[in-house]
Amino acid sequence: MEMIVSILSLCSSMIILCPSSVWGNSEDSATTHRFHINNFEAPALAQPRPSFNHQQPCHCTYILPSSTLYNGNTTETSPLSANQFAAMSANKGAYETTASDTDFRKKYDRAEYAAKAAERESKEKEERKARYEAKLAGKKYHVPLTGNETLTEARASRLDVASNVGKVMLVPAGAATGKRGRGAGFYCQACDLTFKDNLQWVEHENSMQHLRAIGQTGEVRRATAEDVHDRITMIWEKIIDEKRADVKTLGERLEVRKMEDDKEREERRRKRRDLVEKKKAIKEEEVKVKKEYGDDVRIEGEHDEDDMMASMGIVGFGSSKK
Amino acid sequence: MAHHRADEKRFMDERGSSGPLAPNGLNPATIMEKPVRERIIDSYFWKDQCFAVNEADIINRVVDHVNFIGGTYGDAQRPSPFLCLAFKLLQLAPSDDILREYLEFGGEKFKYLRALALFYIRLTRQAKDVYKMLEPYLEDRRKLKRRTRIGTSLTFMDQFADDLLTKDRVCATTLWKMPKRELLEDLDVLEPRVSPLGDIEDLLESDPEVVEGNNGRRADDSEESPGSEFGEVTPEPEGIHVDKEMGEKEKEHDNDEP
Ligand SMILES: [Zn+2]
Repeated sequence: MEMIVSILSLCSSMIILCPSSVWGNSEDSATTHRFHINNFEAPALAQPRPSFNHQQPCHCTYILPSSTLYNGNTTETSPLSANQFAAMSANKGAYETTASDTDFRKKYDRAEYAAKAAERESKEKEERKARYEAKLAGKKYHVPLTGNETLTEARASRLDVASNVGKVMLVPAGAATGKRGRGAGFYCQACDLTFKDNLQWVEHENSMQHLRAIGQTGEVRRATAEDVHDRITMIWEKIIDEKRADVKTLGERLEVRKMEDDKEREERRRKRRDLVEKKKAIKEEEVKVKKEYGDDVRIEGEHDEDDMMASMGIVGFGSSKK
Repeated sequence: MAHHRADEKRFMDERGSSGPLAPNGLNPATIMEKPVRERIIDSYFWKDQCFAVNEADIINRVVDHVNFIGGTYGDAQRPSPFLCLAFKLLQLAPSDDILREYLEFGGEKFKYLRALALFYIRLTRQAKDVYKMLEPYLEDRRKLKRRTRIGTSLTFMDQFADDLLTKDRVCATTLWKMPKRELLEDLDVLEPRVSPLGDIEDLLESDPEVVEGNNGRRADDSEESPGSEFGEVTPEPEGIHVDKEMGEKEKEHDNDEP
């Protein structure tokens, strides 16, 4: 959300369409984010903010500014770097608004809408035709390639089936009819479909329908002998590193253990020494007392002071020199 | 062709028709039997870990998931990761250069990668190449785990290579019938095989005494009692050891004296 707030503060009026996940860690990476901000005025926020950590270059398209947008002349540029983004919003003074007070109302360009509708209709008709032809040929219809698709790559890890186990997710009642929509099960964001089990899900992930939805061709780059050689080296080095790290942590653990043992032993030794010393001190005291009073020769008044202090509970001041 | 299809659909569709053939003239899509192929394609491992994998990615899969050789295992006859990846290799049809990387550079480090390459080569290469590429590994003594329908057992790389050269069926796959090595030698397609131990004929003809000498372990061997070379039978080897040591000590003493 922080992300969105900082965008809000940057742009006085724009619509941002972002088909990638660059907007923070928003979950739905493949869906379109649409923020519409009307005549946002905040002088202090016109400056680009350091917190604006938009990845660059990103894949988002922007449509700007609002006045041109409402006339139907949309400008699309992609990709757009964070710097450009910031510069753009800085150029436009925060107080400088070209929009008049009725500009927020939509102005319809009827001719253009009619053209757009016609275009859409012919496109749909074409698709229906292609679907029908594919069906006749006994094949499955797929949206034709645009040329912007990327190659398909092998999964880096196993499909993460277990990550949602044990989590409670609220699903709106009747949200999913059949596979369509978000329901209980494995959900595909790109296609807005839900699957009952991981087998169905992985089958979907592998399907042409899904690959086209995420802009992949379903083709895989062929590796050369050199690629193969490099991969072997890479895997081997990784394993060696992991082993070394293991040994290191084992070594470290032993080291720590040894230090703790030493400390403990030292502590015990100290306690023992203390005890011995205490005993020795008591013994010495006893001997001294015996020596001092042993002969039972008391000169009158010689020990009066000591006796008095002893009777008061004070036994010397720890000094053996008298 | 710079690309593979991520899935197997086209590969399977091409059976018996336009698909490229393996060097031994077989159609890679039908080298494994139909029930086995179906089991593989239906398996979760295939869908999850064999999708969109290329010649380099497959090494990761071998290292991460292959810890035994085998065809189908358990009561459910699940296809082993080894078999699934062999099927993937049939689809990828890697070149000899890549196979050499699997066998040698990679095979030294990852034994199951070598085992997989050996199996794949046996399925797709011409007889002379199968002999040439497999025979060096009859010297690889590393252990391999093998899993069958019944249970797990231990085997070795050399044993596995030998099975591939001599048996009819390995890892749920019927091996195509190769001409015998001798026949290929007679046809001058193959040179006679030279074992790293030396020529077998020489070994058999030579005097055992000489062989022992060649091996460089003779009277120095401390396990031998001093009298054994004269045919003496000594009842207590330990006693002899002591005697020998004492004898040596006495010798040393003798030397010490001027
Ligand atoms: Zn999908």
